[in-house]
Amino acid sequence: MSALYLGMFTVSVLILGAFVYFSVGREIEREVDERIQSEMQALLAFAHQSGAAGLADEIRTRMAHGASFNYRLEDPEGRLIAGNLSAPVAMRLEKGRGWIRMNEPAGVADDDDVDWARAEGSALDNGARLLVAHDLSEVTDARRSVLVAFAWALIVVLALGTAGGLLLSAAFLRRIDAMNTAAEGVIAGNLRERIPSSRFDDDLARLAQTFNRMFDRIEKLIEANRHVSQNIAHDLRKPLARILRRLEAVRTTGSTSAHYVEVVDATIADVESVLETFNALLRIAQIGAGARRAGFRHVDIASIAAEVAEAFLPAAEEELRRMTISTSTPFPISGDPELLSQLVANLIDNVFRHTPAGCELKIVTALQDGAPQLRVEDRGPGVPVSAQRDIFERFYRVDTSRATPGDGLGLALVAAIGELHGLTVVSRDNQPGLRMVVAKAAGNGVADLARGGDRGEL
Amino acid sequence: MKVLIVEDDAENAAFVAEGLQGAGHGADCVETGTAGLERALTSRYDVIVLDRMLPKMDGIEVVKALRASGVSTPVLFLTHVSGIDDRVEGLEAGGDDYLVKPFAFGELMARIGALARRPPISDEPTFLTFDDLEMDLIRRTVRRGGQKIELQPREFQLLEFLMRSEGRVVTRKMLLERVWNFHFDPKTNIVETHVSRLRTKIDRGEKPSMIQSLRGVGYCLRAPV
Repeated sequence: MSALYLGMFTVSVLILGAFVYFSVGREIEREVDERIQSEMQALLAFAHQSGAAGLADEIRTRMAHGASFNYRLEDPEGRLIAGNLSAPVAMRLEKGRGWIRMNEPAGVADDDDVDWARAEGSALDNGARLLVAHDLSEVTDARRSVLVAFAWALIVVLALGTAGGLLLSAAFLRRIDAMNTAAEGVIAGNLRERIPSSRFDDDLARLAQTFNRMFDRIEKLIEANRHVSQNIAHDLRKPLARILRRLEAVRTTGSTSAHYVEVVDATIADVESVLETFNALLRIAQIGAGARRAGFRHVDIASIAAEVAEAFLPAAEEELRRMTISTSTPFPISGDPELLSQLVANLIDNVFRHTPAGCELKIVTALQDGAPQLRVEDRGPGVPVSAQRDIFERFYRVDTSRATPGDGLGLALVAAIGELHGLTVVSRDNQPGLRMVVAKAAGNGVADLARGGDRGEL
Repeated sequence: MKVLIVEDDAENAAFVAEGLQGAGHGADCVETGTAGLERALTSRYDVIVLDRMLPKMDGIEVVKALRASGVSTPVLFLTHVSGIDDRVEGLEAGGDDYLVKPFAFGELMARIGALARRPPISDEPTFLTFDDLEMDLIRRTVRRGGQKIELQPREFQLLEFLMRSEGRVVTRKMLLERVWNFHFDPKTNIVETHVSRLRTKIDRGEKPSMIQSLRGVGYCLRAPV
């Protein structure tokens, strides 16, 4: 990769070099031509004033003063009158005047370095010819300097490029290796393995962060899975053990049919509770799979909440609870009314089960920062802040002794239904008590659901 | 009452059939959808209990074929999954009720009973009576022994459902579904507290209550002796 870049860079340096090389040469050549022209003009003007003999003197004078030009003044027969260009050039100058390019500026005996020159010739009034030439060593020199400069530049570019490329790709490979090692670690079962954070802030660093987030999620999912399996085992063992004990007891000591009926009833109740747990788990899994979104329609959570809450009124009365239903603020959403009813019912159920009789509760819809939300508030013992996220986990119970009734799945189902609908359900301290807040997730898009679900469903 | 059971799980089919026969009803069992359709088209049944997933022809197709042939025998779907989509699909195809496996036998019996004696929609009554209890479905009023009883809308619906069941058992689940449209079972005793309120209003201190509780099954109306 870096070799490719280096190659491309070298090629562009070469192209630039060639361009500079040729354009510098052409520019200097033009300048030389201009100088020859003006010298010729000056000499012709002089010849006009002082005649051919004067011109010859003038040429000699200029040469003696070390002019950078070479001259040749020849008579109409082509014999040299003055100057240092010895070659017969008349035949090469057509129609008296014109440019020639001399590859071998013959006759410039005192200047061996001149490889080639440029000259202009012009016929004088008396038939004599004048030739003014200037060597092109400047062009050659300039071109040589350009070549040298670019050769150095190229060497530096190649050296730096190779070294930099090697360094970069080494660093790159090291970082890729780190990612690979972390991924292999996770595959091998070390779920806490993460890619070390890099001091760079580039695409690779962002990729590493994404990988780490993925590892976080995998870890959470697997943890949740482990947790759920353990809890299923734990929660189901209890009623099964109870059934076994009861059946064994009734087989050895059972006497009256009334006793049998009692044992059978208790057993049925236990088996039903086990089945209920399984059904709830299946339902959570089903909702979590998200297949239900197809049947969504426009519903108002506020009116659903009012209807559901109303069903709880007699139960609240029986437990001497003051229950306030205040759902005048609409909460429109696209959703499944049946599932949303269950969400609300589970939140209210939760209050009934985890707060003492007489404890008041409120079901409220309101606008918070312009967005509707549903709140189910109580004045019960509340939930410690540390557990406010965990209560949405399957089988989680604040009361670790598991003495309070319940399967620990009600709020997990709430979370699953919420997530399906792009809703966030969070618990807050109601000072005192618990306040459950249902609101639209930021963005309220399916993409957000996938990202927002960090509770670790399966 | 004669019931057709279309169920590929032989053990479950036998359990249901035995239960029905034990209660004095007739029950035929077949294991495939095609056989079920053939039986339902050739013999008369009061209720068809139809498993949702069947070999050869699934429950939905059977019901569609039955309804297309003009057979209006009530159909109760049985299913393994508690998917609401499944329920809606079943009801849309022409099923009349829906029960998720595993179920309590009492629940199944109550539902079969409710389906078997459901009056045709054409002669929907406007007036219900049970003993000295009268319900006017147009004016939404209830009287007992001529005396008006004020009921909340849900209490009215609850009583209406019980009265329409004419002394047959209705389960908690059936009440939750029909009165509240809850297809789940809240942990809080919503049904019990509503029934208890309703009792206070219609019994007027008389014992035993007109609404009888059947432990572990549900409720039914009972005329005072």
